[in-house]
Amino acid sequence: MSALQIAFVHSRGPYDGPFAQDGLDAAMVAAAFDQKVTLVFVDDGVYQLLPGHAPAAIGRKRADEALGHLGALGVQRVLIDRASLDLRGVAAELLNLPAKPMEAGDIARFLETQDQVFVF
Amino acid sequence: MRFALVITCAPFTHPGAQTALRFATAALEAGHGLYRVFFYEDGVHTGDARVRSTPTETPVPAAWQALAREHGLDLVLCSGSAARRGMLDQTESDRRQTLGGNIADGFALAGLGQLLDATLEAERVLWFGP
Repeated sequence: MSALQIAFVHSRGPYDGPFAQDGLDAAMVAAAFDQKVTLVFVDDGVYQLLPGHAPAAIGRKRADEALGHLGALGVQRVLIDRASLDLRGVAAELLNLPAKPMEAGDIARFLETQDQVFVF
Repeated sequence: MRFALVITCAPFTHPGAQTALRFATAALEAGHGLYRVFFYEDGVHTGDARVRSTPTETPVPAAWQALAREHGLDLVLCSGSAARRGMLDQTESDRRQTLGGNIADGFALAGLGQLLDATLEAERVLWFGP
């Protein structure tokens, strides 16, 4: 079977429930299965990409550990919603991943090309 | 059509649990296939043998068991999600010397690989949850 194109949309803050961690875990499993994985960060999900997580204060493990392994697993494409950054005053240059912010319409058109879209 | 379902809500806290059950029932009645039902995050509570419904509620876990018996469904609980919610099978319970497994009959623990396998094998993957 040929590889599927799977987009994992991250829409929640890094410690807003299990979703950030679960989404990255699932994306890594998909990448390990040799699928074509894209990560998409929208809404509070863009906070996952800020450096300096210190979640020990709230008894959690870092939600962004997996981000450092994406390249090794072959996850090449990361999309970030520009409006989500702007609304939160987050500068793209601050983020942990060197991804170019995209317009929402372009992200929507991209998602239409995917075989599966999983939202976390 | 061969579907896979992913259920991320607990059986009695979100309408998605009922919607998923009704969808599965309707799909099977219409002759579609269900490759797997993957219970993820709070959805794993569906497979907790100790969960009880009140007489006026649809007993969601029992309804899944009945559907699985009738149609031979593969009901999988995410093992990581289950462990965080105090749900162990008998083997793991024995290993940790705790009170006993609480995975309901008809459900099985497995890892995220089963979610990806379902994604690859099913023609449509539908998520139900908050």
